[in-house]
Amino acid sequence: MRISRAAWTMLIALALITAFACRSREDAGHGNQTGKLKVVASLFPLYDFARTVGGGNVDITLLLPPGVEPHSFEPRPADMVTLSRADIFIYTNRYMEPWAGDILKATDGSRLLIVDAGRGADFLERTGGEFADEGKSDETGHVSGEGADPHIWLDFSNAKMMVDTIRDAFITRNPAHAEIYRTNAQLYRDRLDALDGQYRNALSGCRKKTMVDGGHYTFGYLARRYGLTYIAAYGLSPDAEPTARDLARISRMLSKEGLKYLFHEELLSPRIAQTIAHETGASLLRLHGAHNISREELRAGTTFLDLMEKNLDQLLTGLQCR
Amino acid sequence: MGMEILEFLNYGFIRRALLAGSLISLICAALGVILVLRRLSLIGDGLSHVTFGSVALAMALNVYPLAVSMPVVVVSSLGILRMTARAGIYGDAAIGVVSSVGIACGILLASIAGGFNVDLFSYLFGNILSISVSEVITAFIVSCAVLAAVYFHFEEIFSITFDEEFARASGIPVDRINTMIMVLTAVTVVLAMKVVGIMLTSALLVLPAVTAFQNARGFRNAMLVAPLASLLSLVSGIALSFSLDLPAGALIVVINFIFFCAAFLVRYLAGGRAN
Amino acid sequence: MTVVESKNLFVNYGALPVLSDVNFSIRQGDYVGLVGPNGSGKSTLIKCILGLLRPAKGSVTLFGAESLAMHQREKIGYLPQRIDFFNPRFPSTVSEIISQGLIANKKGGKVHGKTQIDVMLEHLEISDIKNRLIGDLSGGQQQRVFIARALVNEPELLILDEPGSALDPDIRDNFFSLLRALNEKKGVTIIMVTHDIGGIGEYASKLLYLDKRVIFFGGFDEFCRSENMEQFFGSASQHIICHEHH
Repeated sequence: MRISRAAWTMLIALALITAFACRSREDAGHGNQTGKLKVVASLFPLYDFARTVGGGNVDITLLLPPGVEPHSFEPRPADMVTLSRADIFIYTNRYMEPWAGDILKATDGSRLLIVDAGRGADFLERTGGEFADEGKSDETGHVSGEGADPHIWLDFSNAKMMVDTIRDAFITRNPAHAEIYRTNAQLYRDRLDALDGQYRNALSGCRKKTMVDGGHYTFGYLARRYGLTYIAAYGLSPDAEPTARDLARISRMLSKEGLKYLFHEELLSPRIAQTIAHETGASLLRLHGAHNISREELRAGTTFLDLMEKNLDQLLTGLQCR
Repeated sequence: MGMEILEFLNYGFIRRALLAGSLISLICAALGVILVLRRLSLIGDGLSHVTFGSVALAMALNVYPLAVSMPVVVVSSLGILRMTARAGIYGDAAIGVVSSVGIACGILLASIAGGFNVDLFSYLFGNILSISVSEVITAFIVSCAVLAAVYFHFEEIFSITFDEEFARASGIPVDRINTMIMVLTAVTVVLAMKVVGIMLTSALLVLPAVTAFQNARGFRNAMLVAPLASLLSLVSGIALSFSLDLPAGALIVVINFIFFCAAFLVRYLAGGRAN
Repeated sequence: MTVVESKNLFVNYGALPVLSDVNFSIRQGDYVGLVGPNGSGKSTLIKCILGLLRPAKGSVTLFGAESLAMHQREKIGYLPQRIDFFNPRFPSTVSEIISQGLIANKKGGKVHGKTQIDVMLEHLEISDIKNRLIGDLSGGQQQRVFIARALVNEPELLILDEPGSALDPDIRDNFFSLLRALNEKKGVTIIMVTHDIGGIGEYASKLLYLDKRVIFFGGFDEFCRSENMEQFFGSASQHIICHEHH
């Protein structure tokens, strides 16, 4: 009697688990209409660029679930299924998505067009822990040295180039709508140019020229473009916690430079930034690296340009430009 | 050189680390003595695995981790106690069950929430440099509770740990005190997560105890030496992490181990001479 | 005065009966030898008397109170059977262990009576090892420490589970003299579990023969004269127990 009761319990439990597992996962912006190009993007900026360039002719999916921090993301079986059904897969660069190489191997010979959006971008190379501008990457997207800062989209000239790369991929796969793609891309490039101009003007007359970030090393490209010095508490590697001396050094620097503001990043806990702020009396300002957006931001229809405009606002406060 | 040694005390986050860390290291050592003698050495490991699961849960729910961890880990430790009391399941098996379920739940939750992230990693390895004032206060309150409990029930705890049956026959409320110890252990493990991280919590409980046992001159003696060794390793660990620019948590554990080696050596040499 | 009373006691381990319908009444000043074959339930009975086990049916009362609920634990001294009940590497001094026996006397605070410990140490001739670690002692010395722990609180009832087996012969005589003195001069009730059926007649006044139920409980004279007992145990057994020693 007791044995069969236990068996029933297990059967029911198994049935529940199977039913739960078969529920399809929600992705951001996933639709299922025929006749459109199916595009999968690995990162939010690519997603935003692609949906702008593609307009109504493409069906875009962002691989990252909302609110998820991308540096330790790995695609799961369900993601592979999504990719297998797509026409185009866009990724940022091999430093941001080291797993893209595996996708290449896994989908070799299939009809999936894999787009390295960072090809031809102007990379910031890493030389022994510090970042130095080592010039453009070659045609295959390779940079010599230990690696590079993956956050290329935060330099708007890189962003423009990425828009072009995406446009060309769309045209390759869907030449019928080539004109639409070109028009959309050009409009977006103009907006990026305008944004670039805004940044340039606004940041030229700031009292402070040093950005101190209590999070990871995200804004190297932005700092380079507008002639700012950029320091981050964490290194580029997502796992390395700052040591006591790192925190001491940053605290001293804030005091020395007379900086009243400290930046922190999106999605991740600002504990370290809070510690430094507490130590120095500085105020915290959030800068959004646009890797990924939260559920609320997704619902509000936030765009890349929105995020960058808000960033400019924060920078103007933080660097005491007004 | 003299000025440089004390330079690190200028920073608030170092002072908070020292304060909270000292308290936590003391209670970890005291409880560790009791746990090791009861063959529950792995409980620190087991409960810290549960802590991992609870932190993942907290992050998935977007809630302050300590608030979720405390109750979950307390319940788990009582679960271990319950399982051990039932005939046929020994302490280590009970710990194994709870421990692996904790990790598995953590992995599932983290995956559902979208993947492992940096924040989860920091709980694995400790974030002693970002202890807030409220966390110092929490550490203070918990430490007072643990130290008071151990002090006021010292004789009973000693008797139970040495010979539980005799203790019961003496009229000691064994079950009540065992429950109290398990709850205090759970709370202490959750706090220790801040200092050395989930991976190393076990070390903070076990190492000072076995160091003390090398040359212990009695139970009271062990109960004094273990916390002392633990405290010294914590203070020197933080100080050295500053001067050597290394992560504090791991350094503290290594120093603990060095103390153990020293104690072992002393015992070995003393034993040789007494031939 | 009845010190220990067992009424219709039934104890099971799971579905297996260990004790069935055990009835006896031990009075103050009795010196009871608890004997019986292996698996007869002697240890189980001891645990019931100490209030460590809940019976399936029936009850055991201690000094008039239900053994499980009895609170005046300072009246009881207990010496457990010496089979690995403790970890010899446990860092603890002789003095610390003996003081465990004083806990029952605690009146919310400190354990008093350091001199009680010293007296006990003297009685058992272990004053010189007062601060030694238990693990460093010989088996006989360790046993003396545990005896001291059982006696230190000057209990009215002593429960000893096979105390003589680990003792050195010279100490054993002293120990049994000590027990006799406690029993005869101070009226301490003693229940001693033993396998030493040859020697038990020498010091005990009563015999409780247990084999899952009470086979016999009464004085030694009664036992030796009884014909039933001779039938039950065979004359050899009875002869051993009743054989007179000096």
